[in-house]
Amino acid sequence: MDVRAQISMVFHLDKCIGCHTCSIACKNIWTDRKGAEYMWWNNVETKPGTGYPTKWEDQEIYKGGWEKKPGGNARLKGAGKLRGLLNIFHNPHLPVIDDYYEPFTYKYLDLIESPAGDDQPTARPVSLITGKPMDIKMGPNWDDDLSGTPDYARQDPNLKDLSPAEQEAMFQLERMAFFYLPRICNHCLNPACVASCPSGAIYKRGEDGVVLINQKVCRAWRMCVTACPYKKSYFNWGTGKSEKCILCYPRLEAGYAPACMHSCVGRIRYLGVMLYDADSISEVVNNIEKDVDLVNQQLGMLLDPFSESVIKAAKENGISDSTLKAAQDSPVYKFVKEWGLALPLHPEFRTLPMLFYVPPLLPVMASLSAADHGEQAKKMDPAAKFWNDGWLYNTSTEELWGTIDQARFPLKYLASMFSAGDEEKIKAILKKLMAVRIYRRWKTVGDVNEEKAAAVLKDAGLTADTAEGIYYLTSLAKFDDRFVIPPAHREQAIEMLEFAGDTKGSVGFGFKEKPERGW
Amino acid sequence: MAILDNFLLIGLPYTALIVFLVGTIYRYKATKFSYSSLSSQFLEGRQLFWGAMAFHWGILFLFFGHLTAFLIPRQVITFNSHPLRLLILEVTAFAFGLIVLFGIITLLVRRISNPRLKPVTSRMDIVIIALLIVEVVLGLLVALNARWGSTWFAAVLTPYLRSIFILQPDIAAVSALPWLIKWHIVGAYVIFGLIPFTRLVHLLVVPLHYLWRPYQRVLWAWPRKKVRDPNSEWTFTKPGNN
Amino acid sequence: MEWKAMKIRIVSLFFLAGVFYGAAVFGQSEGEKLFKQICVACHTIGQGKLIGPDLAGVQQRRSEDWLTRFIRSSQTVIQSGDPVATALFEEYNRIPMPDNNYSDDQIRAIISYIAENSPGGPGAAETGGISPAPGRPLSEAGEANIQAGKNLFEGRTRLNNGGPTCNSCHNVKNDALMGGGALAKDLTDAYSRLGEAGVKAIVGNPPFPAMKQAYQNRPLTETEVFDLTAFLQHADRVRDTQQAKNYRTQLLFSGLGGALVLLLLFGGFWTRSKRGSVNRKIYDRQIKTI
Repeated sequence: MDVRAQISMVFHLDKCIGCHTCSIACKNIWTDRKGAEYMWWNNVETKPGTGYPTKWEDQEIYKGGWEKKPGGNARLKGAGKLRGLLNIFHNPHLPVIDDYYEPFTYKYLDLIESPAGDDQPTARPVSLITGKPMDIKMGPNWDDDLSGTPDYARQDPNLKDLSPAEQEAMFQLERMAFFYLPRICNHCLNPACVASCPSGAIYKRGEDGVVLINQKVCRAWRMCVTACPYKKSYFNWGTGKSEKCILCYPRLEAGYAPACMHSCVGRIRYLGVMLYDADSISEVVNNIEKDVDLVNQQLGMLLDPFSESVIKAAKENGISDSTLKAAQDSPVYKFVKEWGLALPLHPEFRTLPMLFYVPPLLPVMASLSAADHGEQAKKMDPAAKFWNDGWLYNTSTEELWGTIDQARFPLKYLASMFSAGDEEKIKAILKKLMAVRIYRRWKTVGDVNEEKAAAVLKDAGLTADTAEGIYYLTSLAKFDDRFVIPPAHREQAIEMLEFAGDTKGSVGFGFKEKPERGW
Repeated sequence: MAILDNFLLIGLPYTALIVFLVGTIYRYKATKFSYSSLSSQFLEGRQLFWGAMAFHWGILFLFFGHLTAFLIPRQVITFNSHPLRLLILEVTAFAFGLIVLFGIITLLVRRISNPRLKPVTSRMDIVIIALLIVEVVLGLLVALNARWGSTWFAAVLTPYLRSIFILQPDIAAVSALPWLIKWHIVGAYVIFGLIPFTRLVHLLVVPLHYLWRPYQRVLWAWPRKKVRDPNSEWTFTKPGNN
Repeated sequence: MEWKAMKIRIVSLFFLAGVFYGAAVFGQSEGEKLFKQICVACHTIGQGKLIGPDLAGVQQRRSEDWLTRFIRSSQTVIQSGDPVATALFEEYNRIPMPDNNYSDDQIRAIISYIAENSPGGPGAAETGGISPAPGRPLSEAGEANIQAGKNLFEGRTRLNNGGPTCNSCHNVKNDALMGGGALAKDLTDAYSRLGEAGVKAIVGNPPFPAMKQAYQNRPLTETEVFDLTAFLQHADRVRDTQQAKNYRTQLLFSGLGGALVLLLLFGGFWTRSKRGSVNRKIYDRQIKTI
């Protein structure tokens, strides 16, 4: 057992309001530079939707991630040793800037300084690449809140397993539902970007698992951009280097939460340490034949930080007591392992992403408001109370799991995102989420009877204590509950950046030369 | 003429060699960040396919062709002694030369005509592309007009180049060659000497080590097994991939 | 330090260093070695004229300065209008003497070697003059020799000591041959220009710098020289009945064909590449609906 620590994350999608505060926080700190204007290390997508870059989930187009043929080992779909080197002069699957959008700004000064004339002055959009006026055809959130549905939401690659009828039902105007999907780098355990980098510029930090690109070693071979199935490695066209989310490691080392998480107004983000068994990575990635088994296998790699044997092995591997303590307090461990509420995004890419999502319950529940209440009323369970005012989010159905079973937002869609197609997993989680709501409704409002609350908890496999725990961490959790950051040991913190002797007297993050484009 | 020959065929190669060595090493040490292929595929990919593919594969073939004739001249001469083999080699090399020309011209046209590429085009890019075009055209003319180069390169130029490398330059034979050939040689020296001042430095960092390294790279700040052990010695060396 | 300023400084420093270093001339050798390597192909000492004049006593007829200039670059001397040089050029069938980039010491060594072996010199009594070995007379050559010479010229038979094949640089107009190179002189009429002794001497011991370099350490054997001379004589004799071949155009067009094939191969190998942006379709559809 090779125990390692990984800073891992959970995003609670039910809480995301799609305000993009996280994106802006990230942009202002990291990507407000020439060549990086188009990059959104953190972005928030509307689902169903094509995302950013357009259709990033469709690996038939972008060839990202790992693919596994029966019996063989997993190999990079669009890169790899031989293929990467053969394609080094022209990477056939590289996204181009138009797959994202052409970065632009407005000539605001024209509003103030235009000479007097008959017409109102306008601020024309100008391209941030050429500096010339341009027509804006696309932006980072062009399909926000289902705008341009026929072109974007309908093209969502996750819809491919849905029958045409199911798709039609989903996109009826009155029944349409959506949720937000905030995305950052997943800091995977089996990162495709690291594996694809010919220069070896990308690496995973052993101490905390943050995946970084060494800017001095990157030579613009562009393979990571193709290889990352989440398209979270970006090519800076200005400096000729690839860049990606660094999980705000300078903040992490100082004990702050990453900027996107710190600024999240919905408090949807949780960050903590997970212990995992590095020896089993190859086993999971290369030997598991069926994609649907991947989730269980990945969750199986995550170790119990309370187990004696795990602690012993961790200490042998140099993991400090404070990191172990952080792992025991980790909210991520609770969501992912203890409560089984969170799933990785697109596990079938086989990169073992370490950012987990709690699937959204709201679009599922919202479906019931369209159901026929008259008929329902007749079948009403005596244990349930029924409203006929057509509340949108009705937690008190006559059948315990009616909303989930009759979801107008197909579970298949969620399953294709979070569990490689296994609807049962999604259903189990949604049941738990719903059970906690019904349980809390009984507690605080009291219009659900105790009998029903107990029944749902039992059915969902929860106890009252767990339900309280979930409720606390979901609704009340304070900063220190949501972000359990292991202390970076002072003696190691600088070493994590670079050799201490070099850092003395230098500024910033170790750059002693300007990060300027070469010639 | 003798002075010009001495300068172009003895002075220039050593100048180029020294500029190349000092320039690239200094640049690597001082501004490692600037070592990049500066790919512009992200901004424009379609024309780049034809330009970069034709240019790179062609120039690789030609470079290794010249290198082969330099390293194993005897075997090259023997190979070429059969007229058919000679013809095949010459036609192949000429075809590769033509696609190099096609590729580099495509790249130049692309750089000039696409407004998106203007902000990522430096003056040195244009200089080096122009020089490469001149060099390739000269090379093609040599192949056409001074047949059959693949043999006489091995017989005449290899000893000259070798004499340069062993620091006993002997230009008697080369200075008697036509100027077309001499300018081709001079062009090569100039391009070689300009490598540290252009994006051509990327050819020095060809990532062949990728073939041997494990796919995943995990770096530790400290030797993780020893870091908590009070008995272990403190060391400067960082542990590598594991 | 500013890298750009540094750049200029490095360039200029090493440019100068390179020039000085390169200008220093290396190498040193004695007169005899040089004479037997180079001069003997066309000149004798006291054995009569070959392609060039007999050099016996030349050190008395011409000044050292004139000799030095002529040895270094005979054509420069002729073009400068020197009457002696021009007369010699005309007398010896306008065959230019190749340039020799020798140092003053080397040329002095050659001249003193000539002086030593000229009649009356200390070496002359011993050697009785210097001339290339005569070898078999060409009159003995038969059809077999011509055939062998042809094969050697074209490369079908490998030269014994590994020298490059003649036709990599030279062309001979002959239907039985593949077109030869264009780097050096066309040898179709070499025999009438140079004569038997001249051809043999040049083939056996090339004085031209490039050719000398090519056959250094891998000289032709005596039999090869004989066969090649026989072939050149034959080629010269039949030259009017042979077709000239234009290999330049052929090379150009076959090269173009090859390049086209290569480009098609690229297009074929990378057909599955992602062409253009994914958004293109969306833009195009939107424009259509407007």
